[in-house]
Amino acid sequence: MVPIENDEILELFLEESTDNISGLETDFLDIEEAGENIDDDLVNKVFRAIHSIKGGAGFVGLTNIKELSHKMENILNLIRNKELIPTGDIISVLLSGTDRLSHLLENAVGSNEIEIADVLQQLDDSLSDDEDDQVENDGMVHIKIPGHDETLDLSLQELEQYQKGGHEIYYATFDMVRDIEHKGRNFLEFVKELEDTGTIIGQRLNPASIGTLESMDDDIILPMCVLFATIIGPDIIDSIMELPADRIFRLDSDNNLQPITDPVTAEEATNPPPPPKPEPVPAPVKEQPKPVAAPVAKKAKVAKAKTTKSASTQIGSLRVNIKVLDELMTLAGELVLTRNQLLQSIGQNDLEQIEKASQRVDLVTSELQTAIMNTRMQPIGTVFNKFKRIVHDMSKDLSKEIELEIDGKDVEMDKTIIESIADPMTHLVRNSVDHGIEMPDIRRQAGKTLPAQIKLNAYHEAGQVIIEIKDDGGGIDPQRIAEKALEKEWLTQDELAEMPDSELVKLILKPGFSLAKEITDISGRGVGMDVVNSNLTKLGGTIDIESMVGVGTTIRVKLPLTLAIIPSLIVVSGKERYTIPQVNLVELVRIPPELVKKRIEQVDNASVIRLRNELLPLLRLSEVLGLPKMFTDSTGNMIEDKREIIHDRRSKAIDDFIDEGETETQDAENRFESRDRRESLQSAVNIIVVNAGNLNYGLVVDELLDSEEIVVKPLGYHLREVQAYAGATILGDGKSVLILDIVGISKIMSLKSLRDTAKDKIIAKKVATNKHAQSLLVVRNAATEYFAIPLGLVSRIEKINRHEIESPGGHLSIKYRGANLLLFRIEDTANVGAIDDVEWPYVIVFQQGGREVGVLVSGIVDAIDISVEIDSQTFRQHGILGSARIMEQTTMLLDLYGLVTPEPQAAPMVRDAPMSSSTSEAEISDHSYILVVEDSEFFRSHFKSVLNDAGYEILEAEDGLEGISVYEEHAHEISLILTDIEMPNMDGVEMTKTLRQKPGLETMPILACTSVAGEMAERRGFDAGLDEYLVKLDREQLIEKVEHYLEHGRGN
Amino acid sequence: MNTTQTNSAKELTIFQVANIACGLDIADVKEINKHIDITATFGAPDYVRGIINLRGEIVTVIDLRQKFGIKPDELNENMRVVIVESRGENIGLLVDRIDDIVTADPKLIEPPLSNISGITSEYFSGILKTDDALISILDLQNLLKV
Repeated sequence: MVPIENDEILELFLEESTDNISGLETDFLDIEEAGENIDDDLVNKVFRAIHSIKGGAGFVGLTNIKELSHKMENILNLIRNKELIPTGDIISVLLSGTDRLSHLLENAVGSNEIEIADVLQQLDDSLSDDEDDQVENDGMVHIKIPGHDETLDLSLQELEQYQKGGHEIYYATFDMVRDIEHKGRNFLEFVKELEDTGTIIGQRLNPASIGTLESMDDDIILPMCVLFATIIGPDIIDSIMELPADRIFRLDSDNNLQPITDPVTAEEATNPPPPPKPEPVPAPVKEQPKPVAAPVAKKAKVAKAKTTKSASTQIGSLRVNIKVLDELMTLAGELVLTRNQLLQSIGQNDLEQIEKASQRVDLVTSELQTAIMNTRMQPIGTVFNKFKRIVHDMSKDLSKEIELEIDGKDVEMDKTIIESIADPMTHLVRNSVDHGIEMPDIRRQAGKTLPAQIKLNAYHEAGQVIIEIKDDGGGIDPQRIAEKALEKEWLTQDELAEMPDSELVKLILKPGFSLAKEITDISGRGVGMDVVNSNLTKLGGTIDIESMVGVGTTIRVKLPLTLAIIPSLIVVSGKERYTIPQVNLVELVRIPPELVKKRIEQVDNASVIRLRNELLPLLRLSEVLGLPKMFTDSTGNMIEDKREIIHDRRSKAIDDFIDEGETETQDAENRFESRDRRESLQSAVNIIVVNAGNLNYGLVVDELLDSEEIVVKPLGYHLREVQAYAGATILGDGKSVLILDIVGISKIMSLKSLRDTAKDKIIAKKVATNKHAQSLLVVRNAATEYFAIPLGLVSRIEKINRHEIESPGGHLSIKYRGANLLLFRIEDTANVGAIDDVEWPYVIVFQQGGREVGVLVSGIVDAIDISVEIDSQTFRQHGILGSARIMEQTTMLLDLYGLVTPEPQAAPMVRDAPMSSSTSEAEISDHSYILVVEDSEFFRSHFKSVLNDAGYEILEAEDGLEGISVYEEHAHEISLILTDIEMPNMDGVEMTKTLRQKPGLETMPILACTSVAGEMAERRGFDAGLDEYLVKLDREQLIEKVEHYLEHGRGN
Repeated sequence: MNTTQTNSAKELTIFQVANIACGLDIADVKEINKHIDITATFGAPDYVRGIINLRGEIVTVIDLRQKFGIKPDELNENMRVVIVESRGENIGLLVDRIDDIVTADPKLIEPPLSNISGITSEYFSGILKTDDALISILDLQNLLKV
């Protein structure tokens, strides 16, 4: 039964045919879509594909395949000639033909035994329906082969086409052994030669006339018969074909074959070389597929493959772009060279060379890795394309009207993933069609559009691929799911009642769940979504369902790009190392210990950091994972960390202390000690800014280690539900390490809301006023009077018992940590209402002159990010910088430093003001100003107040550009410039650079006053010519430095 | 997987978890691992002690003490990780020490008591009485249920 098993040529034929057939479905569907507007190119392409299959099948004796493809070709030909309009029915028939064809190809060896009459009938029917005037005899001409009982079948259409074109049609018999191989000719070359002069329109190997293995070498005959159309006349055809004339026949007008030689002699010579040897056929036959229209390159490939053992279609094979292969080859070559280099330098013990060579190895290896990975990447379109067909067929079966829209076909993923998602995806699409989309009349009643829509989309997000299947169908009814879950006794009524709909919907992922009322052959057996879910989970993917009754369902599948190797950063939290995939990394931020308090703020009980004017929520990894908080002290020991909030280094201890009163001094002292130790370690905060899809956040870790390429390994089933981990890997030292799931972590901490609200607020305000946003703490003193304090100035806030406030020597103070904290009341300095008499007032603690002092307030209203217009006139007085409308309230801006220092006029300054200082008198002329360049109105008024109080006069500018122009106007009146760094239009560093180039400005002291600092930034500033970096709100430091520079000038 | 009665004698690996002598059909034990370098998995269920690298494979380690509701112990010399297979994965069971291998006559295995040292009986498939001890035979399937 097996004429040609194991034959290379058969394999080649199958490989090529599989290729040819693979795109057909989509093409047919496109043809159907185009309807009357036939796309010639497309139809021709399909025609050629089918034609090649037909031709090849004829060669290898797969008659069923040949016959089927032939019928399909006929229909296509009619379409091509615009004699037949490709209606849905016709395409459906063609599609089922394609199905059968691929089935036959899959089982090629036994294909001749497979029943195909039904499909043939369908194909015929479709023609007879639409084309009554079809050619008789199925449009076939049966050419009788001389000397044989068999006929060679040819479509009349085709035949006529050639005959009309003045072609002669010859029938010739070759012997593959004698005529081709022995003459040193390659079969393919031979076919090509023939095709140069004409067209092979039919061919066959005659298995019945093949020699046996027992025959002598010379007796082996592999006869091949060819029907050849050419314009070459019968007189020279034999020389063209290099065949004895007696083996060539010509087709006459009655479609009978006539010898081209003398008819009489021909009669005797009619028995061509295929000597009818009636023995059974034991040996596989050597012959050839591929007749027409094969590009030259392909032939070359086939020829090469012939010499080697070609790959079976069963074993997974992969088509690789030749460019990628070339690249691999180059890299392999380079690797060999480098190895030689390395060996040589090791031989010579040349360390320098060894180092160079090993660097090279490193480089080449990683390039090689990338190139190999590239060979594995395949577009997801290969999976998507088949859904067109599925939707098409199913909607026909179910009488639904559905349109499938596909996006993101080009998204590439690892081959293994692509292969593994095909089945789960198919299931999801089928579900959408079967359960999701309603019947047309129901849709019409509901006022929904027809056809219904199913959208398939693939896109990249944060290093993962998201695949969406979105339908606008009926949605999943959570009520029905609840009923089902109750029926199955998975959950109780109460439990179900508490579940949000979004959770209920996810129950469909449980094994044994099916909502289909009737079991169809499409779905409804209850072995669906759970299998989909577990298959996707195996791939490291997740599935998310969103559904609204009556609106539709969106299923979102999240998959890793590749299962192989990913670069990642290794971090330490607690005692364990963790890795963070590089794709999630945005940047690394290290906050030096002295800036931690300033940079990290609290919003709604969450820590945030302001990074380039954006609020970034902060998470402590140890908190996320719930590990004991540890930190390393100076001796390298791990100590439990009691900090509650990242930036707050003490509050816990103090809260405890205050709450417990003084009865536990001993204990409090211990804690105080532990605080001291903690302070002494001066630990900086390491923040990894990560991207979790649509939001960024900062992850605080204890330590950053190296980055390393890691191999992602899946976690066991006990750990799959743990959202914080994406998998695990094994590091170089053999220890297993967990991979953090950055998106999962943001979900655990439900981060989204915070950022959105905070950011939206800021953006809204920014748009509204286009002013610098400010973090303000709003407090109350008298019941109806509101005050605002820049949050950045506040060290912390303490709640105290008012009975603990002491007033020795007229100064308010409170004891804690064994020391006195000086307290000030706002009303003592400024002319405002007295503090509300509350039992538990608050103390705003801040640094002043190296010690801590507190301002008493009666209540905390809010901490807000806001940009406000500051009125620095109306309420301006000592201790009050001005006022602003905040939250519909006139709020006074407190000058904390003003509050705690006596009014300058009233008492001498603690420090000698330059005005009264004899040494500086000379420098400060009548027209000596300090130029303050600062975009924030708040800080401008702050500087103004501080400097004015110290006896200086200032000029103001809002950004670097304005700073330069103000300078140019008042060039000789300015003796010092104080500038912010972060400003619109031109920042402080740029301005300094520009100014330093001006004549006479090389000696001008330029001081930066900023809240954003870091070593890098500082170096940049110093390079530009800045003299000093000052912390924005340190009043003492500011005065001291200004004084110093005015007195001593630059560089002293 | 299940260590309930069969007619032929079966071999049991005996190990200690706190004060409970547990038995596991030796056919279920793939290997017993001495060198345990467990990476803690914070945020995971309590009974998951962590993960280990078993020749390149990441294996979840279940702390049987925790599973039985007993306070976990610090890792020590005697502890072993018993590797078993479940749902196509290797899983490690952290036990206090390995005791013995005994051959048991299935007829002597009785159904588990309603609870063993206060531990739910669903983790056990039977009780083997020997001369000097009561051995609780583990029901792997129930034990490893998520």
